[in-house]
Parts: sequence; C-alpha cells; structure tokens
Amino acid sequence: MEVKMDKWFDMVSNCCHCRPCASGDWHAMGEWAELCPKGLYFKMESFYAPGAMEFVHAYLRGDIDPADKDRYLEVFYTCTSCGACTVQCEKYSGPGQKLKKVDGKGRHLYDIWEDMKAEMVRLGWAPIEEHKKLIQSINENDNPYAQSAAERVKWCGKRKIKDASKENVDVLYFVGCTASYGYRSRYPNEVADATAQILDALGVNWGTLGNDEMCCGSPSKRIGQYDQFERLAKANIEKFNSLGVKTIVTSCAGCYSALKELYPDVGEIKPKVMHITEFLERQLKKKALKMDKEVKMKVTYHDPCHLGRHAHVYDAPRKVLEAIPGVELVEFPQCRENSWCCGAGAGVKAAYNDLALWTSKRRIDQAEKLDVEAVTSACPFCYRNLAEGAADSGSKLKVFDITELVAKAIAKK
Amino acid sequence: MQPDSDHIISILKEVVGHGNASARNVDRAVYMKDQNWPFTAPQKPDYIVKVFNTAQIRSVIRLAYRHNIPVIPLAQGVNVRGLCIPTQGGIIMDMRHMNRIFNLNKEMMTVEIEPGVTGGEIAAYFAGSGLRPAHTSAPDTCSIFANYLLRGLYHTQSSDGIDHIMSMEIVLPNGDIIQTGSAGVIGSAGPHGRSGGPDLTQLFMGVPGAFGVVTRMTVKLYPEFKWAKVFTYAYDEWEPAIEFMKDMEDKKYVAHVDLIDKVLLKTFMPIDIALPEETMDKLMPKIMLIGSVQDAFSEERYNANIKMLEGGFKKSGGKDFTTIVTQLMAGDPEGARRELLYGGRITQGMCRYGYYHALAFYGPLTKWKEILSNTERIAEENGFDREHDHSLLVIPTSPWTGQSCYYEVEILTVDPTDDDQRVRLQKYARECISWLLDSGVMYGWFRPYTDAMDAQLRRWGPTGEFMRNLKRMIDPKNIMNPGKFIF
Repeated sequence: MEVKMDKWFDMVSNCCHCRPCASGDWHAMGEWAELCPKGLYFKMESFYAPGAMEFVHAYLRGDIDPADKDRYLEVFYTCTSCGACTVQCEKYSGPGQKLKKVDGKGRHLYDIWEDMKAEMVRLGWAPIEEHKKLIQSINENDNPYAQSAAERVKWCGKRKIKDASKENVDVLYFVGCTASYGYRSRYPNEVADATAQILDALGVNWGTLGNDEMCCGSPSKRIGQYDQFERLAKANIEKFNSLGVKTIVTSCAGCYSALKELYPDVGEIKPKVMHITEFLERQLKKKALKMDKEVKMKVTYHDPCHLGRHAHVYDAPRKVLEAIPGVELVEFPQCRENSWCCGAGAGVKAAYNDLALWTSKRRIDQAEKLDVEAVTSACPFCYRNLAEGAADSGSKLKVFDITELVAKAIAKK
Repeated sequence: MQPDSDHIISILKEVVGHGNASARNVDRAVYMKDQNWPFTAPQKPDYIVKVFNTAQIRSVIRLAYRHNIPVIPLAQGVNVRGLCIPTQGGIIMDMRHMNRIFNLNKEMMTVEIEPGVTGGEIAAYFAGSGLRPAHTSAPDTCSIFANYLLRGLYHTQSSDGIDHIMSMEIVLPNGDIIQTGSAGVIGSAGPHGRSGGPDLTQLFMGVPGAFGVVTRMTVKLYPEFKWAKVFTYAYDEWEPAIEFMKDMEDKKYVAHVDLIDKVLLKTFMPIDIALPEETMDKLMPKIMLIGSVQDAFSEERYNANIKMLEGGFKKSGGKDFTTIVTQLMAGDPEGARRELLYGGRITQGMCRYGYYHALAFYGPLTKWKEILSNTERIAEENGFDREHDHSLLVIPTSPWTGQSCYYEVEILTVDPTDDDQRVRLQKYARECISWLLDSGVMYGWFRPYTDAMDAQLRRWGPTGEFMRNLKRMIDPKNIMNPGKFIF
C-alpha cells in the first residue's frame, strides 16, 4: 500500500492547537479529564495530537534534523491508535472538519499517525526493534505471538468445532490471534471458549478456519507495516468470500475494526461482519438468547477503542450486559466516546509495556472508585492488559469479557 | 541556538528532570507558530522545559538571567495572537501540567489556581458546588489563569466585571518571588484582600509574561446561578439589534449578550453537524443576538428580568431563533445551553475554514457603523469578500458605562498555505490598525497584540516611555518574553 503523506498537508497546516483533542467532553463526563494516554504519561507537548501534527508538518516541509529520528519513532510508536483525539477534533474543531474530505471518504487523526509510521517504515527508520519479532512471527506463523500456526486451535480442547473451509456453516467465528493463543499468556482468557459455548447454546451452525486462520492484520496496519497488512487483508477477504457463509462474528475489537473499517480499502467482504456483542444483541431482540442463570455481580464496562471510537459500537455491549440476570452495570464517567484507553493497542504493549501498564492501571483506579466487583470488556486484548494492570496494582477487581458472563448465564444449572 | 547549548540543556534537565526538557529540533518546532503566524513570524525556541512548581520556575529563571536567555511562559498553548511565540529564541516554559485548584475558601469565596488550569477544568470542579468561577467565553481548553491575567470576556453576569484576580505569586526576572495583595504581608489573614499602596496585581495583568512569571493566583468566586435562560434573536438589519442590546445593558436585565453577524454565524454554528454553506446562507439571519438571563438568589427577580427581555424583544421586531440555533450549535438545546453558560467545547468555531485573523478592541457602541463600514471597505480593497470573509462581533462589556463594547473585526477565511493571501492579510491588518488608531473609534486594544501594540506605543508619548522604563527596571536584561508588549 502506497503512503501519500502529502494528502495531510492541508490538515496539519490548519491545526491551530485548539486542543479539544487532548481532553474528553467534560460536559458529558461531569469531570475534566485528559484522554491521550501518551500525552499524559510523557507530558511533553510533542506527545499530544497538536504536537504530533507539528511533527508531520515539519516532516512535510523537510525540517528534519538527523537527531530527530528517535523522537519521531517515540512519539508515533507510543500512540495506541485509541482515537480519543480524533473524536473530539472531528466534533468540535474547524480543522477536524477537513478530515471528512480527505480521500473523498473521510479519515481520522489516527490515520495520520499510522501513515507517518508507514512513512518511517518506507524511510527505513522503522520497524522499531521491539516490533521486529512480531512482524517476523506474522510472516512465518500468521500470528504476532511467535506461536506455531498448528497450535492455533489448542484453545478448543476436546470441543468439536466445524471447519468452515470444509463444511457448510452459516456463521464463521473469526477467533483472532489473542483469543486463540490466550491460553498461553500469563493471564489466560476464556473469550474463545465462552464464545463457542454461546454459539453452541444458540444452536448456530458455526465453524472456524481452524489452523488456517490468519492474523487479521490490525497490528500490522497500526505499526505502519502496510504491505504486510495488505497481504493479510487480501488473503482473508479471498478466503471469507470463498466460504459461502452469511455472517462473520469476531470476539476481538481489533479484528472487528480491521474487517469492518480497514478492509474496505483493500477489497469487499461479502459476508456481514459482526462483533459478538452485536450478534448477541440481535439474538436478544429475536428472543433467541435465553439467559436464565443469575450472575450476581456489580460491574462496569470498558469500551474497547477499536469497537467504540473506531467502529461506533457502544450500545450493543451494554444491552447484552444489562440483559444478564443479576448483573448491575455502573458506567465509568469516562465512557463511550470519552473512554480512557486500556493502553495495549497499536504495538504499544509489545514495545512500551511500561506505558501500556500505566494506562491500564489508571483505568483500574477509575474502576476502583465505582465500587464494582469487576471490569468487563469486549476485547481479549483489553482483557489481557486490564487484568495485568489489576494484578500489578494489587487490585482485587476481577476482569471479565462480556462473553464469559453470558456463558455463565446460559450454563446448565 | 544559544551559546553553550549543551551546557544549558544539561542544567535544565537537572532542574526539571531528563524527560521534561528538550533542545531537539522537532520538539522545538511544536512551539514555533500560532494563528498569528502572518504577523508573528514562526520561530523555534532554543529549549523547551516542562515545569511543575515554583521552585523549578525560579531555577530556570535564574539560569536564564545569568546567561541572558529569553524566557517565554506558556500556560496552555491555545494561543491565537503570537504572544507565546519565541520571536528571539530562548526557553519556552510550558506550565500546562501545573494545574492545581486548591485552598478553596468558601467563606471568602476565593480559590487558588495554577497556570495550567483550563476553563473547563475549573467549571467542572465547581459545577453544582454552589459557587462558580467567572466562565470565560473562550474555549474551555484555554488556560483560565491566562484568561484572567489578560482579562477576557465572560458568559456570566456582566456585573461580575472582567477583573477576577485578588492576588498573585510572581517569579521576577532576577529569581525573586513576590506576592501581591495581602498575601505578601506577613501575618495577613490570607491572600484575599488588598494591601496598602498601589495595587501590584494590576501591574502584572494585561502583559504576556513580560514582567515575570505568574505562578499562582487567588481568584474570585461567585454564587452559582439557579435560574438561567439562553436566548437567540434574529434580525435582518443592524439598527434594531443594536438598540435592543443597548436597552439590555442600560436596564441590566441580561447577564450577557453578544451581537454576531451572519458571516461569523455561518462559520461556527454548524460545527457539529456540518451543514453545507449554501444551506447556512439561506438559514441564517443577518444579525443575531445571543445571550442569557441568570440569577443566583431570586426567582422573582429572574422572572422580572425575563419579562423585560421578552418585552424588549417584542418591541425590537426580531425573530426568536433559539430552537434553531441551539440545535445547530450542539445538536441539542442542552448542549447549546452548556456551551453558552459554561466553558465551550466548540473550541474553534471561528476556525471552520482553519485559521482566522482578529483585531479586538474596546470602543463606544455608537461607533459601530463607522467601524463596520470602514473595516469592510479595507477588507474589500485587499481582496476579501465582505459577505464571506469579513465579520464584526460586538459585545457590551462591564463595567457598562452606556458605551463600552468589545469589538472583534475578523477575517475568517485565512488559509495558512496561501502565500498571496498572507501578503493581502498583512496589508489589510496594517491599514485597519492605522484607521482604528487614527479615527477616534476605539478606547484601546483588548490584548497586547504584537503588531497592534507596536503601532500604539509609537503614539503613546511619555506614557510609552514610562512603560519602557518600567520594563527596564523590572527586567533589566530584557529576558521576559522580549519583543512582546514593550519593544
């Protein structure tokens, strides 16, 4: 994929540092809060969106000092692509209106940051050392975790799951790398297993791609490896369209955002793409999803950035949570489009774990103030980083994926 | 770059911490320009320091004083008039993260704030508390501290006035720390009252860090209003709107009112929902009065004021646009109400096209017609369209003397990538400034804009010389934001 940085010149030239990008909507939140994790962590203006705008502007006008390279890498590779800046800029600032005209279809501030990363790849400045293994692993194993492709289905255990490549299924469950290999992580998650339980309980004719499933390419795109992303996207689109399935369900916000928001730049996916929470919300409406076991728990919900700000899915997860008997949902003041990021995305977890954990612990601190027992989310990568943050800060809060709570509610008595 | 730059940056890093100081080219580029770039040429500072307390500020100032390095204090960085551009290089002292709100004294209705506190931050802090700060009509991402320091415009009772500071702590250019008001008197009951002699607080107001770095201030709070109504009235002509506005201020039944013309309305109304310009052209009236009635204590008085407002409105022959405008402004009436009563999220409404240029000044209301026609003429002579580019905003200011207004003459379609326009804009601004200074239509500039103050100082005679002497006395090495305010 070719990167055309020039297309951003008008936008970055017009950034007047008005800074709604750096904070949430305090009217909605009832409190003043900055939303840019790296800005608040490093505190230097270069790390906030207006600073990054000037970095791009300096680059486009050729005002680059050789010693600047490391700073460029640091400023852009600490960005989680959480999208907090773009929501506020598009909504409240004049220059943000210009984003709607870029490429004739509208772009976002995180597109600028990701394009800059891709430009740094083209210049040979990137990838940064910490991402090289991840890139290599995707090339060799089709996943970023340096795990063998043959082990992708280990999460299934003894469960019999249809191979969508060989058998007719209506729904393809695109498991994603984090949920597939999560069982090996320090904080094993049950997202894939819970999703499988739910699909079975619903009587859905579903399957997966088994060991043939490939990374969705989201990590590649977010760290500027556009060629790798394009290769994966093309392969996945071709595969999806050849299966004859009606619906693709993902339980990962990153995969969902990639398929739904990024793939249209590469090619058309014929099946309908749904996040598991959207799929479950539809089942609720059809009264097909029966949850009769009480899960007595006071929880809050963390909006995954790739599901919320990137794909605008805010209501479905909440409706599913609220439908679980016994679950009481308490909102973070920083929620929905004003949500604080978990800190893991766009390669930050791999390269800047200190920042990722600091960001996650800040979210856990916010949850502690809500007097809840658990933080729920709808993304295995958020799940993992929030769980690590909770453990690191000595919090007693539990972390759950929504699918786990749904699975508990439908489990046989 | 300053001499011995490696030495300087290493000391700065020692003072504020390694990650909080930088001399990198690209970090410096972040601070090189603001909206005033056609007039205050982009210039990188030599160093950036992020400071977190007064002790660090004093250490940086002492270093700068020793080495004759300019220091430019920056409270939040939402700057539009070149006042924080390091025109002679030096150190940008970024105080964004000095943002404590502390020492609340409910009895005295005061609180202390640091430079990085934003309008939104202080509004959120006091929401529902029974007290309120003076809410600026500047964007809520701006420093309320700097706004008070440079005297802004406010969305609250105009009788609150435009001076909200009781006392300050200031680091002088030689590193000494002084406190103004009663805070400087040992044994004082608190930093709230005046002390004997001249009011030193006022000496440090209205100047962009040219006399020292103000590091904290005690500010006034007011009773939170319990009743409030936002209104927007539309007119096809200027005259009835001006007459009605004068009546509002004479009889004091409104908290505040802004007169906005169609060109300005078009640029900031649709920011949230982005209506096409042609639609806005058809929808928007020529003139709009936007304001509020507020009261903290008496519903009876509030209702009486509403009655007077409605009577005046009926007499003025306007149209009620409240519903339409509030929908356009923020998508819902409550959103618009919040925008108009508290800090606004629509931060750069006037930048729908990107940057904008404004000349803001105080002048008598009776001069509106001369100001409008002449600035429109100058705009047209320099290739700007009076129906598309030029705008005039009029806001009565307190203390209302029957005359005093804030005027803002604007070119709203500035394109920073258009070299030809930049030349035209510079010529337009020069001609406007000369005309305003020569024509007896203004009292003085709203803010010490670099380009406008230069022209004013040359006409200031002995007063200008006194100002220069004052600056020399307080800042003998001219390290504090040189090139701004005093030349």
